[in-house]
Amino acid sequence: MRYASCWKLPTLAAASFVLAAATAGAADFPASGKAIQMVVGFAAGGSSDAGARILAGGMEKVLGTKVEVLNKPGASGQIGYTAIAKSKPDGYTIGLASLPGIMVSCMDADRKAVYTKDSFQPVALQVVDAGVIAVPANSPYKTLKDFVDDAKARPKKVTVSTTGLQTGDHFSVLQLQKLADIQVAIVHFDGASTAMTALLGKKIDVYSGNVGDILSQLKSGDIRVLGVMDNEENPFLPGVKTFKAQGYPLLGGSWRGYLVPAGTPAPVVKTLSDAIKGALENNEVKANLDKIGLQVRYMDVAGYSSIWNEYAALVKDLIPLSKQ
Amino acid sequence: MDILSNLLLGLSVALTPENLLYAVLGCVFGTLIGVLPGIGPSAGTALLIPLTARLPPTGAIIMLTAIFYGTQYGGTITSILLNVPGEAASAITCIDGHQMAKKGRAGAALSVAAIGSFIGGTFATIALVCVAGPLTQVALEFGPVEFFALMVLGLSLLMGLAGDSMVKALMMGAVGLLLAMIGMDPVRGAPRFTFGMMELLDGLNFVPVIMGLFGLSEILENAEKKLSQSVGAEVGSLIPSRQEVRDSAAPVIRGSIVGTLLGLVPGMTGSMSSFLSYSMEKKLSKHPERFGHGAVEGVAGPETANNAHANGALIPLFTLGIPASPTVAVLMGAFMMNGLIPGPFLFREQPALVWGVIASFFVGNVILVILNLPLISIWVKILKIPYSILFAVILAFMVIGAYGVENSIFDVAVMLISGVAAYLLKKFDFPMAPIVLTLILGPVMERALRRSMEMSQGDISILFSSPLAVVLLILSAVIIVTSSLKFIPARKWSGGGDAEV
Amino acid sequence: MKRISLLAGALFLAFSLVVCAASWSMDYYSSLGPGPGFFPFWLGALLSLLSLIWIVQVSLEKGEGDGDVHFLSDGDGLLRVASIVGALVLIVAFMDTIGFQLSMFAFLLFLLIVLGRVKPWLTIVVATAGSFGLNYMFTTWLDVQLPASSITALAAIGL
Repeated sequence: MRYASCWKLPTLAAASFVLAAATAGAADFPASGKAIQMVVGFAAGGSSDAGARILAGGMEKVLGTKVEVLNKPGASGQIGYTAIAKSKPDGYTIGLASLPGIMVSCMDADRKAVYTKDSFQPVALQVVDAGVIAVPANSPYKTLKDFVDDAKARPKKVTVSTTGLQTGDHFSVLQLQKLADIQVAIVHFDGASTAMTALLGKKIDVYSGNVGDILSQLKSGDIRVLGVMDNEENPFLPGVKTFKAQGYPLLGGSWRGYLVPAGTPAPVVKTLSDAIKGALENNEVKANLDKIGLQVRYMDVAGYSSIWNEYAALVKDLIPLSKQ
Repeated sequence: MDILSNLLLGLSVALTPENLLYAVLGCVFGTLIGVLPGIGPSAGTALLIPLTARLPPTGAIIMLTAIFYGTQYGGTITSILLNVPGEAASAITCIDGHQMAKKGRAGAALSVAAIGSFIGGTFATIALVCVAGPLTQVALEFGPVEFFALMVLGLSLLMGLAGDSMVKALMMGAVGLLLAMIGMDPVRGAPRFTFGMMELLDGLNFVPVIMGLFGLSEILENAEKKLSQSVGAEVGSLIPSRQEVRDSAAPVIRGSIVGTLLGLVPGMTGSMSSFLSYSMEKKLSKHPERFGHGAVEGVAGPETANNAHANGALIPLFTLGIPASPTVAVLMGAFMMNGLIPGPFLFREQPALVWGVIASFFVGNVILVILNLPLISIWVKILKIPYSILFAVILAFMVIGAYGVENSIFDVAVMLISGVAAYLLKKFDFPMAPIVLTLILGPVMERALRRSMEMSQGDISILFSSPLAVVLLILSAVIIVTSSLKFIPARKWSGGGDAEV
Repeated sequence: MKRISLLAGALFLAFSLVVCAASWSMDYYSSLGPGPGFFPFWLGALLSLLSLIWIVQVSLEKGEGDGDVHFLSDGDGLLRVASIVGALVLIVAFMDTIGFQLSMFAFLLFLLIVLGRVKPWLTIVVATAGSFGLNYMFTTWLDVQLPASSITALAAIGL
């Protein structure tokens, strides 16, 4: 909990009155003095945990009750997801979820998860770390098209790194193979830094990863980004075209949002979602998230649910391909 | 000057108040482990890993390395005052150190040991700085193929750590590798040996296993015996006489060189360095008959050598990511827990961290001299705490430490099982070091192999495609062959093998 | 000692054969080199070979003074080892139910009484500091949540 101590903000009782009045139907949620538990299925001190703690601090202000972060790391989040799915659907347990990771654990039979995608009710999206494809600065690939053409000419010869088996960037590469009808040699690393070292050492040709992990190499001019996997241009990557604009509509990166167990009353879900929205509008919260390189993008229950379903279809398709 | 700018960068990190505090804490804990005869350096370092889990990576590594080299200082205190070695590398110091104490020269012996340790540790750190700079240039040469070869080299060191019985060492190596197989495999994410337990999908946590193997098993072994202690000797004046200083100078220089060189050699433990230094001083001395009766050379040489060894052993870890001794393997686990893979690439990726940690070695050695001379009376008092209290408190910390890794009682159970298993295995003289080595290196090797195969799409010849990889593989073959030869005539090393544990 | 070593060797052998059998159900080879079952299988095979060698080594050894070597220490020593292991088993079993503070207090109290006789007031002080004190330290300064009791009545009073 390396960042923890900074975010213990005093709760403002006043705010809860304002909010309670605004959200009719959930008038008694949250009951004053009853703490909300935020389950984070990742280790304390990591980026996911830090982001959740900042948000929890902001939510405390809006809801006027304590929001306690509980780390339950392990099995790529699965231990935390299990705890969320098994908790009481009363809104007092809310959990961090990372797409596509949670969907993989739902859909991959090998993971023997006790929950399915229907065990959860999406609440709100918090941050997006968009996926990118990058090459060394002196690579012959100037555009995404160069890469795709070469991969077509030499099937299974162009090497593309991922930051791990069944991660977001692994699925992005699989999606791209499908959309562009190419075959590449996918090489799985452990995390972004080992993959980036291999890219800079010319051990691999193309890097697939998230925006947050490549910014320093981009700044130093060591790499070139060929495209960003999002519906909109990325504020950190001005001038870089989206994949969609280059003819391959694909979704990539890591999408972090919050869930409650299925069966939680709709007004309670809305209160929580609004609280997340309120917290993310707080300037201090925004500044703190920015400091650790997280790009805020709030989506309400409906918006986040549609991303959730989109990923469900996508992951279901790609899981067999990911196990070659 | 590249080296100079690197060092300045390092010092700017190491001298921030925060990191200075971690270095002091590490030195205090290290000395404490050294002072307490019940716990050795690997056990102690393993026990204290959870304590650093909440720190930022730089602080965590600074503190853990300080614990590691701090143990070498602390061990001297009990050797000299109690004639009981606090840890194996200081065992030889008992011979002349305790004799000096009997003659009322305990203070002088402690001073000579501390100053020798300081010089030895600093010498080895300078060597690390000199080697590390050039190596960072080749960092990018290490891709998956070279990495695989490097891990093979690391695993071949298993033979060097074998101790008395090659069969037993290899058995433990295989057990370590099998433990490393637990969890989702790197090939297609299939669960291996998880017995349907979700907690095992990510594999066994390294920290509770190591706490059990080294920490708990050692406590259980000690609990068998009736432990009692008495501090008799007085420290006396800390200032060595002019003659003692003159006699110590040459042994300190020789000890620095011997310790640093042996530290580089995988499989050599700190005790070998101190034993070698002692016998060398005795041979070179004009008055070998004084040894055993309080000769200051017999303190200065070995104490310098074991500290030079401790810092020297960090050279292969930092530059190649190869742990040369069990304790360094534990340290490597701590690196990995912080998401850092030691090796040349780390210098490239995180220069501030690596150079900060290296600079902290200089700082730490200064802190240790202060801790061990002016503050010596504190350690003498600590020696008077009854064992029952000590053990109960250590066990409580172990429970919290194992629990704290992932907030899970499952890990406490893992620690308990590993500890009891290790306790029983040690009854048959099975060495524990190979388990740690393979537990750490095994998965890294399997992944590097898989990665190489992914790059070549299944063509195995890629493993021999790079000159660097070929050199490393040949080197491993040489190590395996020469260390097997050692076992053909059944001869035993004195003070060697698993002694550090 | 010899007989018990042989028994241990047999256990190792059995363990390694189980590993081999278990890894046989995993894919041995994949399209891109060794599959999930490759290494476990060969490690199991290696371990069984090594256990056999060890068994042979042990059975060839001359039994020198076998009667004097006790595998487990006797009397008090064994009692101390057993109480530490037993206390740890109990704390693993009950920590989630009765919470960290109570279970650790009992744990320390028990160990201090069994391991060595220190003055009663010292026992109480150490046990209190090690349970309630440590809990305070970890939750307040280090921000590590140690388990609270799952019994509502106990959790309500902060245990």
